Amino acid sequence: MGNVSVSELRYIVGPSSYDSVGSKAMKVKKFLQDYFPSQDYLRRLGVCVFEAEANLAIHTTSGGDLLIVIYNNRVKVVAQDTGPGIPDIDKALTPGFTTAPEMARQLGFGGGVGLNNIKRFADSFWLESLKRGTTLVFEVWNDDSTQFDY
Amino acid sequence: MMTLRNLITKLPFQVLTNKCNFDVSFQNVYASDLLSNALASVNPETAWITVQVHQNILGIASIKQCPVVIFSEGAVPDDSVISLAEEKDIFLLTSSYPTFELSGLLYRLLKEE
Repeated sequence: MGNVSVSELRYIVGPSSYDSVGSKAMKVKKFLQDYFPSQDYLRRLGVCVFEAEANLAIHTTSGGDLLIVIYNNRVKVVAQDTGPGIPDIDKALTPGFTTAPEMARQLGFGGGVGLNNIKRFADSFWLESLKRGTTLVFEVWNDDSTQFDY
Repeated sequence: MMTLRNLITKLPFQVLTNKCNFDVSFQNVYASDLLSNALASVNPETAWITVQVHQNILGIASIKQCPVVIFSEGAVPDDSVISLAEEKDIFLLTSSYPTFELSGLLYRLLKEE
């Protein structure tokens, strides 16, 4: 596949930075408006980035990193942190299950469906967690192809 | 399809944002205070009812291009949130009705349209 153009955005999300959740997703969406004219695509991507951002703010002990890579007609997002890790990934992926603190829940976060939202709106989803940290990788495609080409 | 103009003449809302374009319209209403639910469900044709008044709601409305947020229970956000909404062309209304009643009233109005 030709037409390879790679661009990168990187953000740091602080622990308990509830106030700013959504700000990175809005920046990403704004930046990508030049790449992707489809509003439907941008909304889909926006939902996923918002949820990844919220997870870093709610669950990390020292914050995390949000890396957004644009290549071909797709966007890959890597959300990484150094702890405390997800003890049971299956449980974390069960709709309604949450370990969000009371403070976050009062603000309407911690509904227990954030990861499910990403799974639903993204085209690929990968999650790994160790005691030391968690890595979430997902892609949102602006095409209907089903195979990876990188 | 319901325009803001039509809406505020039929129900006692307080318009919070200045420079409101009353021609903005919506086709359906979604009520939830859980951010993930709203994020998944609102869209450019939705008015969103919530009691959450912090600025994250504008992130959701902006990302999903949801044009109208209606606060129930008389909730009113800080001025900074209202200003930010004006910048983003998101219209904020508030009503003293509880969410259930507000939803019912809007449901009936939309059915009558």
